[in-house]
Amino acid sequence: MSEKKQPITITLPPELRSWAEEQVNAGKAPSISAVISEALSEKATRDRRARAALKARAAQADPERVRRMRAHVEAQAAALGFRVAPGE
Amino acid sequence: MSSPTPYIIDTGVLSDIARGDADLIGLMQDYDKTGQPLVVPVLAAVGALLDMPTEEASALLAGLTAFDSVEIAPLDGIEQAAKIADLIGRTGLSPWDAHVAAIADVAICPILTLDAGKWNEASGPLEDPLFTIEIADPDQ
Repeated sequence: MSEKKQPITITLPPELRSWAEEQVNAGKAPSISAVISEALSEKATRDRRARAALKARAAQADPERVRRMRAHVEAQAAALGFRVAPGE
Repeated sequence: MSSPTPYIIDTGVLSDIARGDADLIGLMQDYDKTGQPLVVPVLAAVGALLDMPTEEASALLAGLTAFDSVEIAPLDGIEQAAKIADLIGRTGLSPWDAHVAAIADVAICPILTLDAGKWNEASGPLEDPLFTIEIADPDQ
């Protein structure tokens, strides 16, 4: 994957644009691009941590019990006439 | 071939996920791996987080909604607000589960719950019953 930064056009609500400009004017960021980039980076990190927290908890699950619960759910769905994704 | 019907997740299931129920989270992960669509009504998430107002709970629900197969259902205008209000008045459901019911009713999708009895009772006053599927371990 290329490391080169690519210019994009985004639309911001006025209050967020003002806040980003204030960050730059106060010397807290070199540019509006840097403010946006940092905010997206923090969001991406939060999402990764959240997914990791969920997967860590899922790793403690009893696979046999999960299988039984899923089969029980699918039997009910089939009886109601709903189409469901097949289990592994 | 038609797509799988999404399951609408109710507040009770989300509350137990927010509490960290490993088997329930494992079941959700299993659904994600196999492409079973799941819908999280945003008000049901509010109800779950009121029940469990911790950062870890928020992180677990955020992790759930980061799954590819999970879609967040936002509130959808005044028409839906009126439907939710009507459902609360007629069924006694909480606002959180009334959002679940409103989506399930319009989309004709089953509600995934840990308490089918609650939903059977709520369906009583409705012209068209809600479809519910109970998560349970038949061996326990």
